[in-house]
Amino acid sequence: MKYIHQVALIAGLGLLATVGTAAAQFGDPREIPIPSLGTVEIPDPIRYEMDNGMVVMMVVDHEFPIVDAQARIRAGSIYEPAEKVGLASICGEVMRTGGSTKVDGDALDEMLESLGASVETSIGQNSGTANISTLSEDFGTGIEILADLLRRPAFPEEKIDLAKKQERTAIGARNDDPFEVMQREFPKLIYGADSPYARQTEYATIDAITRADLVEFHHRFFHPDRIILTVYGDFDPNVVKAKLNQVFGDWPPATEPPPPIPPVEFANVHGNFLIQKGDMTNSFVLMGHPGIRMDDPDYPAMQLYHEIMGGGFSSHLFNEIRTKRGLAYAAGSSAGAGMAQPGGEIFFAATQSDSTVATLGYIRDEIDKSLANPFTADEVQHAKDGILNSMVFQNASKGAVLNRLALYEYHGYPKDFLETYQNAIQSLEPDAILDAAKRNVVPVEMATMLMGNPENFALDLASLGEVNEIDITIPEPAGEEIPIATDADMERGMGIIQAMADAAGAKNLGKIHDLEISESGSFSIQGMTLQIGLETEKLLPDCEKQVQKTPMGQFTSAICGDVAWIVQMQGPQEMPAEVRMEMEKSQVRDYLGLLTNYASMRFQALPEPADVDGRQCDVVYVHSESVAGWKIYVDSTTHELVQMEYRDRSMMTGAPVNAREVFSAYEPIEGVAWPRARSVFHDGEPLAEIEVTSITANTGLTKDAFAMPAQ
Amino acid sequence: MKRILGFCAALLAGGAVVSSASASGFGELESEVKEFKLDNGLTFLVVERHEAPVFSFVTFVDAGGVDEVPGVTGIAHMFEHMAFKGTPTVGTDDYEKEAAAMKAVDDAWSAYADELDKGYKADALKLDELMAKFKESQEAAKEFVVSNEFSKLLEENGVQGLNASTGLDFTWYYYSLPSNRLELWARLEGDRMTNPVLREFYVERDVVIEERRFQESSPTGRLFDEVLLSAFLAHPYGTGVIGYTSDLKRITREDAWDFFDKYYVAPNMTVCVVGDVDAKEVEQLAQKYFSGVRTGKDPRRVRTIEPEHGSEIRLTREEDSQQIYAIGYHIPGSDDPNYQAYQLLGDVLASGRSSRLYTRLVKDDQLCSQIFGGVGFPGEKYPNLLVVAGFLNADANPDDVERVLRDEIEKLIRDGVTPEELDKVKTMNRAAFVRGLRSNQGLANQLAMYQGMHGDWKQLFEVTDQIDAVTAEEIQKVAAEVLRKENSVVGVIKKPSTAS
Repeated sequence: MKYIHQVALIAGLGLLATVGTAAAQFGDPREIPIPSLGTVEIPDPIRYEMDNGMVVMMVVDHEFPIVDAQARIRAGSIYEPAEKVGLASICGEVMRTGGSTKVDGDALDEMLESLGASVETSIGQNSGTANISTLSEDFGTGIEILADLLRRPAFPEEKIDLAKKQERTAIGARNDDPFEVMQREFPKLIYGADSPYARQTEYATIDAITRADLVEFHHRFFHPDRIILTVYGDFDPNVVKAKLNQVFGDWPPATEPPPPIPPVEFANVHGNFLIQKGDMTNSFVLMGHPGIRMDDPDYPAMQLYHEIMGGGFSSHLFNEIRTKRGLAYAAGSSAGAGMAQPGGEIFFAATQSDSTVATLGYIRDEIDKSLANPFTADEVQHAKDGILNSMVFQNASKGAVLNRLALYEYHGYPKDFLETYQNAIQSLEPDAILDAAKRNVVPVEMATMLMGNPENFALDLASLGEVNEIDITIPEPAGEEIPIATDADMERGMGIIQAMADAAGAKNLGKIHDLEISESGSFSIQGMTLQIGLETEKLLPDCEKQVQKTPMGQFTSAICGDVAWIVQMQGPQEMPAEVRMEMEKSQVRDYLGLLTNYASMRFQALPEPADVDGRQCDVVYVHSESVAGWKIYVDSTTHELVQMEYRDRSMMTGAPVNAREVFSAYEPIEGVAWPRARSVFHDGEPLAEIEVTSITANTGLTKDAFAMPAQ
Repeated sequence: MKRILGFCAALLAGGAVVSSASASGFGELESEVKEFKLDNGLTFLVVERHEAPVFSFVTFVDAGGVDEVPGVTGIAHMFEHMAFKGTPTVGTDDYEKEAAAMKAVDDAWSAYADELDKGYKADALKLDELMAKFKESQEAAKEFVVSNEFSKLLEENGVQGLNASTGLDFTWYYYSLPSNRLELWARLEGDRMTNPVLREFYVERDVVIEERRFQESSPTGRLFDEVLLSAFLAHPYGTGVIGYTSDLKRITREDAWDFFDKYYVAPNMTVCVVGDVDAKEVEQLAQKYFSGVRTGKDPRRVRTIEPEHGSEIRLTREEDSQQIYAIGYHIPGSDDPNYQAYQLLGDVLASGRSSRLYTRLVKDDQLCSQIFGGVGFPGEKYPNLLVVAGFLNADANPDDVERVLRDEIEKLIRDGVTPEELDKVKTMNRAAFVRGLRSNQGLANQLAMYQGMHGDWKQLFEVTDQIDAVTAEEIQKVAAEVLRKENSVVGVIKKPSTAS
């Protein structure tokens, strides 16, 4: 017994005397006297309204030589147009990075960091904030900068472009962190994907944002009478008042009332949803439905309910899932109630993959139990003690009190909201909590979301009934706008392609059984030029094997029906799914694929002809589900295929790029015109010049050539 | 209960790695620190702050992931979890019976593990049978457990920020309470540091394994795991804090006791209390409740010194996620007299929006959406890494990031830092330092760390002068010394290459 071992050890070290009293020392912790708590001095902020309507709240605290100020502005992403999601956030970002019409953003960075100060601006869902923190002696400079940014942001194009670029990057990476996926997707379920409270940025909504939008958004929302400014720290209130008057005093108030807050509409979606995320080694389990605001009469009862259900170490969910079964790293629940809009009644766990479905069962059982019988008086008392005893921390720092009161004012809550809440908590009985829970937690109304790799779930998902999959694939960045097709456009499109196929001798394709093509390519990669040899074998219609001979080594890839493999340095292996997808796309759109399959494809002629290297071309847009934004340029006179434009992935980074491929030097093989030269451009930069060195038809190739080699 | 990596703590918490402040400004604060030592060697620091009726504390244990040995990785963190499980008087309704039941659990596990060790000769049926017995014994031990009583007690009493974290260098336990709960705190904290009971060990082990999976689910987590492993081939910094899954699956309660016996001795620990308390009363309560913490020898430290690699080490992960470029340069540990110069070097490169690399990579060349950097990865006690990491914009190429980085480093080594730049990073450090001491918990943590890791809390207030004394020439000198290709490790996440 280890405990005995401990005691023996202590005794051995000559501390026996203290051990004798040790047992007595550690008596029942509940019997330790708790003296009454000293009074909490709640600071009463200085509050006044400037002539232009700006509300100022200040609390002085001289302990450290620092001053913090925050402006809270009535703006938010809930007000941005649906086709420009991201506008508010980019506006908040560029206000800071772009600087003002007086000082540009980069100069600001230098200036602030030299002062050890910071100024940050951002616009969230239902409010914008601008914060400064400076050493006391620099506060004057800090507040001048803040006022300048709020009143006269410069919004330079290059910083807008940078912010948009970063936002596009964020879109591309938005599925990396499973937690982020969960936080994004669940609100979409319960509020609806298009709700201002849940919608997300897309490449298209970011692309749609212009400088004029930012200027307009700022003009619409940034007015002194829609700002609450708090100042906290080491300063003289009279000096600060004068300074605020100097920097904000001549800012005229808004001429119109603020726009109404868009209503929250509940999607009323229930049922089971799955997000497949193959790289997760654990799972998230969530269930819930929309909830209440903090000013709801049931708010105190629901806080107690969630404290007991999922609030901490002694909560039901934590005990059942983590403590008893060791299944989860996290388990809990929350009312998520907001001051401005309803939150969600949410129950969740992060668990190991194989117990995903079982964990959901445990959560459901606990919810059912919590709605069948009242919690015990002991449990309720424990939860009350926890909430009430920790209340003192709400007032533990003057800065925290100031922030709290400013938030109440911003959202229209009474100053004594906390005290009222405290009294309500004190008087709640178990039955009242049960009643409130029955009103506010409705299992049949809940959406259930599982996220992870279902291959590793031990229990079959089917045991849950119908499961709808949520596709989180990130849509490709939009290409250029294609006009809506008329029947005439489609007819003309097919005509152009038919003429191209006729001119190319597509009718002779039947004479070709297989092809062996040798090409030599010169690739420009990061300023270097690499010579790459390509040996391609094609067995018509859809088997293809290619050996790439590069200075770094030889790479082989092959695809033929169900068989798809690659050989790299590690030897042969199945072709990874994403590589295969890219290969299949390129097979659809390459020259041979087009000639072979054009009859079953849909083409839209675009109204304007185009000039490609001095040749006039008709332009056709291919409507294809598998290949986005694909355009074909056909010589108007000779009907030769001149150029294709399509979305591809960068060879080096895999990032999406705009590819352009130019075909020339046609020579016939078995009566089919074949381009002997190709030039490839990525995002306008030359990538490769490829020439056919030999091409032979009908060598007697068989499917055997496409079998995966042994390890 | 989380783990900390020095790097992340320093960057994300802001000011966890404390730096400069004008020494004159802190004389008053310094004079308010009361220090006393119990007979067993346990050091206490107390600062009275009566602004609000609350206090915070930290128990600092100078032991972390770096003190683990192969095969038992993750034990420092595992023990930290166990310190929330209670004592003979908290967390059970019959300790005597529970102790016997826990012994049975250990025996059952040991029997199972013995069979498992036979490898392919292990008898599958017997394994099943032994596992069933092990589970049965756990059920039996559970009978006597009052689940999470320690945490529940604290929750009832209004605890805030109840947590602990284990890093490579050290472990700390902390929370805040209303100030009328001072004696309750002393009773609970003294008890668990004196008489911990490692109940529910094998259930908690699964929780920690789950935490490991959580980390593996993140591409960034996977990359930094491997950067560490590549940078520290010999030194235990390479292993990280969380432990290998295979080790975690096999660690035993006995392993946790061994770790406790060696490292949780009074001379290796510091307790710091800051808030609305009376220092005299803290001393009396410390005598009463902490005198039983075992004394012992300050344990030996890691001997291994990472040999020079003599070559850059590179690793590339192909992941369909945001691309990352990370580079680490080996630098000395925080006891090096020039350490502040390394720190300022890191700041010049990568701290703040006007730092050299932020300016180039994020603003000018627009290759990265965000960068992070600084010294102290993954810890500071021993020689560690000055790291710079960039999260790439969608169309950017890791090779271009590397080119810019080398370009900037070359310039820095050639031309040194400007006087304005030096002033700026010193001021930034001073401001971060002041902000870090504003909260009770922040001050407690800093004092305890300087006492526990550097042997004297007063050094906290000296670092300010040391930072102010660093010259541009010193920074240029250390830059030339460490920012060399053959002194670096590079980790990259790039998109899977597709066949063209």
